[in-house]
Amino acid sequence: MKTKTLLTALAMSSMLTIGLVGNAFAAPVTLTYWSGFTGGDKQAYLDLIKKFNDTHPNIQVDYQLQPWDSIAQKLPTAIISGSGPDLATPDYNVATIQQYVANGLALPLDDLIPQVGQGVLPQAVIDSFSVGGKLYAAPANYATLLLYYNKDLLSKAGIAAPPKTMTALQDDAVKLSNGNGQYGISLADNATIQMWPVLIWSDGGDLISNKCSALADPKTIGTVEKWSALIRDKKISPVGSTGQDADNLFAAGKAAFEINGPWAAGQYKSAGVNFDVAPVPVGDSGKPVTLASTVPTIVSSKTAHPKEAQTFLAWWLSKDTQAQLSTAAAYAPSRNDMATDPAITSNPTVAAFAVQVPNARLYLPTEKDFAKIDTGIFIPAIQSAEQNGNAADALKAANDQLNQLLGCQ
Amino acid sequence: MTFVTAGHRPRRWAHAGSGPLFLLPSALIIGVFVLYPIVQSLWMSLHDWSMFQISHPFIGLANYAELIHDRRFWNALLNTVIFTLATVPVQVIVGLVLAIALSRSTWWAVFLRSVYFFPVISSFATMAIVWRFLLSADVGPTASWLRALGVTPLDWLHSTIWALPAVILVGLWKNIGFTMVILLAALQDVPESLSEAAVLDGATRWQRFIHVTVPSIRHALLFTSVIAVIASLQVFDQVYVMTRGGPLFHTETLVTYMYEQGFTEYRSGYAAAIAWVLFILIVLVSIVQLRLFRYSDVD
Amino acid sequence: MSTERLPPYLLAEQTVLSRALAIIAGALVLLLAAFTVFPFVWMLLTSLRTQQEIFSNPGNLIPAAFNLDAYVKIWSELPFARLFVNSIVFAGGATLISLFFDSLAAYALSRLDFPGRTVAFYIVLATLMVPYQITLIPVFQTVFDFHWLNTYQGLIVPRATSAFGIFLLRQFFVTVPRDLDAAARLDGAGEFRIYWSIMLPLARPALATLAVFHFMYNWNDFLWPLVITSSTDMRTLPAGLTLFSGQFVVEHAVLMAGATISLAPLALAFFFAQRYFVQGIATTGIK
Repeated sequence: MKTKTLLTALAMSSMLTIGLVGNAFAAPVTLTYWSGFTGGDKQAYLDLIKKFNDTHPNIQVDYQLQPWDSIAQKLPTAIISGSGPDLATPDYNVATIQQYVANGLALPLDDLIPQVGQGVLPQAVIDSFSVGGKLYAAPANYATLLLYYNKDLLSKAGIAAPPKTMTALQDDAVKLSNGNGQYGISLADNATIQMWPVLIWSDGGDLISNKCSALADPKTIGTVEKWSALIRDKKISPVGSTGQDADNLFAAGKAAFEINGPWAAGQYKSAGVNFDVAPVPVGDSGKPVTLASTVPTIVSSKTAHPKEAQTFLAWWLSKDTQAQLSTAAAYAPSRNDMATDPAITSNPTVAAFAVQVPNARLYLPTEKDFAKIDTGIFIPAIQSAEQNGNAADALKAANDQLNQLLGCQ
Repeated sequence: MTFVTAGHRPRRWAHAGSGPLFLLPSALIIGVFVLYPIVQSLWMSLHDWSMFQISHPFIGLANYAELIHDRRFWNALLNTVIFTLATVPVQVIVGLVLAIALSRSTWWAVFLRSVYFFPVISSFATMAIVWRFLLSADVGPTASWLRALGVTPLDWLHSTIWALPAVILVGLWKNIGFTMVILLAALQDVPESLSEAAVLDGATRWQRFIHVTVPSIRHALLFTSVIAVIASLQVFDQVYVMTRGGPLFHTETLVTYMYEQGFTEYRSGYAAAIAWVLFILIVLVSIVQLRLFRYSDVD
Repeated sequence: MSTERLPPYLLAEQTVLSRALAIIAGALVLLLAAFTVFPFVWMLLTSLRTQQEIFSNPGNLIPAAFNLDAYVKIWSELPFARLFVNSIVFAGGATLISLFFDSLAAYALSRLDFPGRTVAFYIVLATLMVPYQITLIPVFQTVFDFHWLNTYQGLIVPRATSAFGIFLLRQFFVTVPRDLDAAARLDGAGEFRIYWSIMLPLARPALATLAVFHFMYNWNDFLWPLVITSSTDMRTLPAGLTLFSGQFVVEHAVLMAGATISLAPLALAFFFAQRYFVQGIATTGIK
């Protein structure tokens, strides 16, 4: 009897000691991160995650890659039911996070700005990732679009330098098209990082202005009319291309120009295209403008480790990390204070993209009905203009649809 | 030969025998993982259901009412019906012809059977990417050959006229082998004695085909037809990969529209309503098919 | 129809016209075969080319040099062996269990008489008529409630039976003459015995066909493993290969190499099971 009590006491005290000692060497916090960065850029992210894990023994990131479709299908239900990750990139479209925020699935990142610093994140990012004055996402990357051009095709056609104005671009595109498989410009209109908005913005038009539709604005209509006429009559671009179709076309040397982001540089190089990048030509508005593309990372509102998650995000936005990301994947840094950073300026391609950050606008960043506007209203109007040449009518109809959706007039 | 009706004594539940027991494992799994989610989706269709929200307002048949006025829905329905009408007869007939032609065990028959069945075992998601390349007027191999011959290649997937035929063609490429294989297995059971008797009776090849072969394989024919119809009405994979429903919604089918509503616009309730309208359509069509085959349960 | 030579009653009909028709038919069959095979040839050849070749010279199918970079990349970037094993376990496990459960159910629905039999059959049939995309999220929720996410059982159990299989086998069982099992019942054999020793062997072509369909369907299904698993090491090969296709950058050679690798085991399984398709019923067991 006595031995038994003694043994029990011994057992319990040793368990207690182990417990106390164990706590001192607490198991690291593991953050699960559902990321959609599959494909060519994934190595850059994998390397950075590894670097974080190596330098942060107390916080480990379990980086789980899956296709974007898969995340879109599972993430909301997963977060609600508690089986979700701590961090996630919900979608490559910025506007998607509005749904997460509106339904309380995203954590407000109150600890982030204090760690990163005021005024460091680009204003476009702050504007699109904030709701009600609180920041809900951090940029996983930041990209701008430039005008890619095929140097061989241009020199063969006797064009000395890439065009600086939209009118010059149109003339060059006509010169570089032969109506039989050789195109001046590769314009995608669906399933892509949007190129048409760049054309529209550069002439002073817009899609949404003052919370109502600007599709019937004469400047918008004028731009679409001009370009779709050239597409139909002079065959400067195929019609109905997806982003991938457009990229494939440029990679095959079948198009002389393409408005595209930094991710494409690698695949064009391996496809053997002799290309370079130039700023997007200036249109009738007289002001340089291009599209910005950023992928938001949110923190689940149900996470058990809000502090650690924000520490990771702050690390992600640090100068060193951003420099490495820029060098590896040619993204512009998601910071305002690195324009003169040697890591950026030493690489001309990276520098070219980074320099455009102040001119870059996001496409429909805060529209909750983003998908409906994009696939249901805007793209069909553009495609109709390209196919049927009825830009004015198509855009006016789209304008009414959009106003109905937005609750205007 | 007299037929002892040992297995046909009228039964009550007490004498139901092992029937329900045999059915149990499948019934359980289908019940939990298939039926229950289906019922849940019906429930979802009666609500304004977004995946993001925890509570979902009940709206009765409002989703269905919205469908009636939705032009994109009717367009998708039309495309789906055209797709099915074009696919099923070709798939079943060509499959049958191939099965009959290749039902020997000569080496070339075995080889050709494997060839035709190969698309069936491949992954459609990837093969659709392959087809997108092959049909591309810009970067496809056939296009470059045609251009070399001075012919302007057809831009199948960007043409509002030819995109749907292209999608139909790829679907046939994928599935004819499936029909062929099922009917092949069924043809094994056609008693040679019947064929020989028919020849002795002076029947021509065609008469033999109609009166001996077809009736003998009618169960498999029914199966392949029903499956082909169901699969065609639910077409998704090749459309999603090749055209995303474009150009200008000319290849948008009910399921691609449903998927877009559910996972891109996050309107799960509305998507569920589309699924249920499709379900009712399939049920109706299947009933007609079963009647046409004069399907009787006593068999 | 399973003999090497044409039986006499068919030989007698070989006229000149039917010979000509046979030649035309033969040509069509070969043309169709070429059309069927071409995408695979392209896929294999593309997996051996470089990105540059694919784009600059699409019409030239033969690779300039046999470039195995794509295959090396897959091997080095994915936990290949693990994914392969997962695929075998998932597809193989689901197929074997499914063959058993499906045939049990099909036997019950075609041979055994019990109340609600017809209703049960129509319910099974009806489940085929709802597109799977709509049940994706509810099933995800159910599997989560069972705590089966990211596990083998979560992958396999929902696939351990299929309405398709039950329907297929039922249609075949219905064609088997009743005399056999009636006789066996008279002899006092239990239902399971009849099912196991008489029905199953007779249904070999159907079972072989179904085995191939199940295996290939589950092997190729990348959507289901992507929904149920979240970590790469629990995924199947096709699901893992989706990681090479990004939003912007698609590595075509790698994608084609992955597709080729993924296709190989299925091709093998099919060639092996082929011999079961064209086998006459050696003995029917009747008298």
